[in-house]
Amino acid sequence: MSFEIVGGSFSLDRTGLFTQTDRYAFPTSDGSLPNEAESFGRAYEESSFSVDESGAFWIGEYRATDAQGMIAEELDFSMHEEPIQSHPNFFTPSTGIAATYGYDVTQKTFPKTKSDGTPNPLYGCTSYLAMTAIFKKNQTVGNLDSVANLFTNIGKISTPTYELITIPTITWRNWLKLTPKVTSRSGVFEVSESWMLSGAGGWNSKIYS
Amino acid sequence: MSLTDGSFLLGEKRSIDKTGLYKISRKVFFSSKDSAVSGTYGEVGNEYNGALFVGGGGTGDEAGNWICQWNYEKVAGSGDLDPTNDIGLVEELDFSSIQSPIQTNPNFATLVSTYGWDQATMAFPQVKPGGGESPVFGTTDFLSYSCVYRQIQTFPSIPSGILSNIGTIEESGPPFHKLTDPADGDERTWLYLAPKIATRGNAFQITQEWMLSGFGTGWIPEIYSAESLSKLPTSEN
Repeated sequence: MSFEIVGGSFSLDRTGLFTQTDRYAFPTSDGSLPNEAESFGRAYEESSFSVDESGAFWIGEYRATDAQGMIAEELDFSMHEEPIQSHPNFFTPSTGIAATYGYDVTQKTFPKTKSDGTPNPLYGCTSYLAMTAIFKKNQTVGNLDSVANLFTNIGKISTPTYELITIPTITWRNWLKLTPKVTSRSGVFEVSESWMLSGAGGWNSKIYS
Repeated sequence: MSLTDGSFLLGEKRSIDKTGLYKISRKVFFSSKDSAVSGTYGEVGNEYNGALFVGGGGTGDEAGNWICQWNYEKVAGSGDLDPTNDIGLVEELDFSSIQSPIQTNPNFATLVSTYGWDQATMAFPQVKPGGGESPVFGTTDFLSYSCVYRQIQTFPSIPSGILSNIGTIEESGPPFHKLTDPADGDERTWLYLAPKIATRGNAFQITQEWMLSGFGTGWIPEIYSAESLSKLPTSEN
């Protein structure tokens, strides 16, 4: 079977994923489509075929991938409500939220007025706004072993293994490693690792260590 | 005229966006696919004009000529930036309407004294204290609004302290440039939200946001001050 390359294209993205599409022509008179993996000596992720206008050639397009050691990182914000009782300053003696705003432990509510008779701004309040963030590290690798600790410490308190965005230490917040996402791309792997920033006080070490 | 592998073709594309991100695209010639691929691989980690290679692509024709496009990104130089003309800094005031529990209305105490309040069912009664149908019977929420002030900029490095005060009250308010503080002169305060940071070549595109409190008291310091939130060090949790 004879065939000849008739051009193609490739792209390399910021996570190091290299994708190339090779275009080959081979005679329809040969009667069958080539087994692309054997014909070209490597595994192709996808292939498609069409007959050219003359009817004399099959045009086959074969897509292959490779990895090129580039990393993209991002830190993204999210916001949610937490029960007010979980705030680290809730039960601080005399100056905490419960003491300052007269929290009724039995009713589990704040009264309409404070002890000095002024309106209580926390009357009706049951939650507070907690901030968090997700740190993501995306890369494409040829071998999963090259990503250090990819499958360790999942669901546990763990400092992000950043390379570009320097993550400072914050004494009252820490990070939880989330499940990684690994996608096989014909011999290479797209790997996305992520960590979630805790609320005030950090992740509970009794639960997440 | 024949070109040698790695020849840069005439013309390149440059752009500076509103956040101060400087992008450069160059076109390069190669005489075969293999040399085009190895040339592109060899560009990983390289800089052009101070901008880091962030990827690219190539297209080959039937004659075996390959034209590659290589892309680079960096932060624009100070001479290219002009925040007064919106180059290098994007500012937004983003207002939105939200449904809030009626108990959080700043006039809730007046509503209660006027229309009564059943503490057991946490609802307004059907009949007013003085008699007659209550117009607020069945009301559980009211329409209030929230406002987020946003700044998007590209930096050569991540400013220090950008993560240390997440979720805390910004006493002096956000650093407004062209926009002005809608809470200037009243009791409302601003809460610093977590930033969004993305790598862009050898630069960092950073979105910072602050959220305005409702009317009444501003954000409660016992909940949202740095001192209150940092009561519990992670080492003790």
